[in-house]
Amino acid sequence: MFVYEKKLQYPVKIKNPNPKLAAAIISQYGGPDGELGASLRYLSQRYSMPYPELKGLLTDIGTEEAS
Amino acid sequence: MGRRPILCKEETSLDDNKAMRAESGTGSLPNGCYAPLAFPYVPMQKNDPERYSQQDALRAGTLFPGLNLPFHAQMKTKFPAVNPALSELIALDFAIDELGLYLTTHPEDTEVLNLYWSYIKLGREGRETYEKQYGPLLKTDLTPGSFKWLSDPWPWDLEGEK
Repeated sequence: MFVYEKKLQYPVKIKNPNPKLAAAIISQYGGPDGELGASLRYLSQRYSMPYPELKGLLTDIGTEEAS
Repeated sequence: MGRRPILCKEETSLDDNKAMRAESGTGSLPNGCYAPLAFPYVPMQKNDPERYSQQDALRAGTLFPGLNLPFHAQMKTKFPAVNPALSELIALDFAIDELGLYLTTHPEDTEVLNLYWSYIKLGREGRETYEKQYGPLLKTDLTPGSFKWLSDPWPWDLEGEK
């Protein structure tokens, strides 16, 4: 189960708004080959992983990709 | 709902009326045959219908036995038995979740807000009890002695009743 924390891993402060750059950056998160897709792949692969350390590792990476 | 048999054109061609009936309300199959179309149905609820107990409702995913028809018997025997500390925590978290959803659109409702907070307090106590007995729920939970986060079983490893 996942919980949302109202904070970022690293602070973001935008001095000069740039929609074109924003679109490029957000596609790295939610677009094709983005972190969102990677996150779900790691989290799905956990279910067939037999080793506890690697269940933990896939959980860590999947969670990080979503952060 | 009566089941209609599969009809073939050859059999019904002598009786036009019968053939018409076969074609309306039926889907065509290869070889000039017809079979009944699918019939969806919606369960209708009466006023003040029979209810499950809260525990049974949570397990079934519905409060009303009348809405719990498909696979009812199968699910009852196959549903995994979770330990009491965990199922209590799950029930509490379910209520907290629902109240939280309500508060997102009704932030001024102080009655629900107080209920929300009281459940959250209970939830914290429930977590402590659970963690002492069964291990950490969060990776960041302190587990004196050793790092217990990796210990099996993970939530998807739990086996159902055999």
